[in-house]
Amino acid sequence: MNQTESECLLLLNDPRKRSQAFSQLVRLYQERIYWHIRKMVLVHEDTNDVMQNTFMKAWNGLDGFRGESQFLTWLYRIATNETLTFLTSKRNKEQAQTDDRDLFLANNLHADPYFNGDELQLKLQKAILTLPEKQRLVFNMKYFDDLTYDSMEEILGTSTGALKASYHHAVKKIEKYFEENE
Amino acid sequence: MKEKKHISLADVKRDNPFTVPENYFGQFAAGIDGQIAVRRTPIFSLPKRWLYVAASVACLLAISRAGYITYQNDKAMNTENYELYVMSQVDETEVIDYYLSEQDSKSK
Repeated sequence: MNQTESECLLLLNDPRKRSQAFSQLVRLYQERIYWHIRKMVLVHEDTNDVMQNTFMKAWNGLDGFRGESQFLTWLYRIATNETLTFLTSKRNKEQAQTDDRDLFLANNLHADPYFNGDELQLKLQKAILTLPEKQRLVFNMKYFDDLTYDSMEEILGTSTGALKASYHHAVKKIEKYFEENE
Repeated sequence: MKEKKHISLADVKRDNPFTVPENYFGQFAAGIDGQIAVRRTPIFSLPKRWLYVAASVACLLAISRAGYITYQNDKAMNTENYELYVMSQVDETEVIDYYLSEQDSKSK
């Protein structure tokens, strides 16, 4: 826990300074939470919606934060739940077939002004979308955010062993996708 | 002939392919500030337990008052019904006869 976070957490207990402290915490962690969500939902506008829900849920549920974990870990957990809920509702709206998983999410990535990736990076995003939801989370958190397995265990509530196996399977599936879609 | 090399994960650039609109994070944080200002916790806030007690007492008072009003209404209704019952049991001619006989006795 860094000094700014611990100072903000102390101020959260003071009703007069609570919103000021929360505002500081938003500024401190918004980028990490944004990229965590964005790599799952891909589109900026959707990410923005899920971010709003995440931080407002955190604000309304501040009394539920008991300081047993880091504030960022707690935020990650809320963001993960919100993201999975969003994806479920989006899937229902799109009536996506189970065999193409969430590939529909990549449909507009080519034309997205906020995607600057090259062909291979686009192919990687499509490959990631073929993974089951939880495996996708694990892959993104490890490959892009380089989170430790311990942190991931706290956020996802899955054992380190299972996370390592999940990451290993994800890499294998992605390489197989590359091989089949060259 | 050279064998075609398969693409592997190591061939993909690891940098972030996504971007955000200019000044997005500044605006996002300001937006959250605006939303939490609307729902700001009041400076004087009672502990939750006391709020539950106050709500329970208010609820009991409301139920008691409703019960008392119903009881009063029933009571008034019963009195009114009793009077109507008594009146219905008396014959009108008997009342007139009684009145006239009273008048006669007074004039004598």
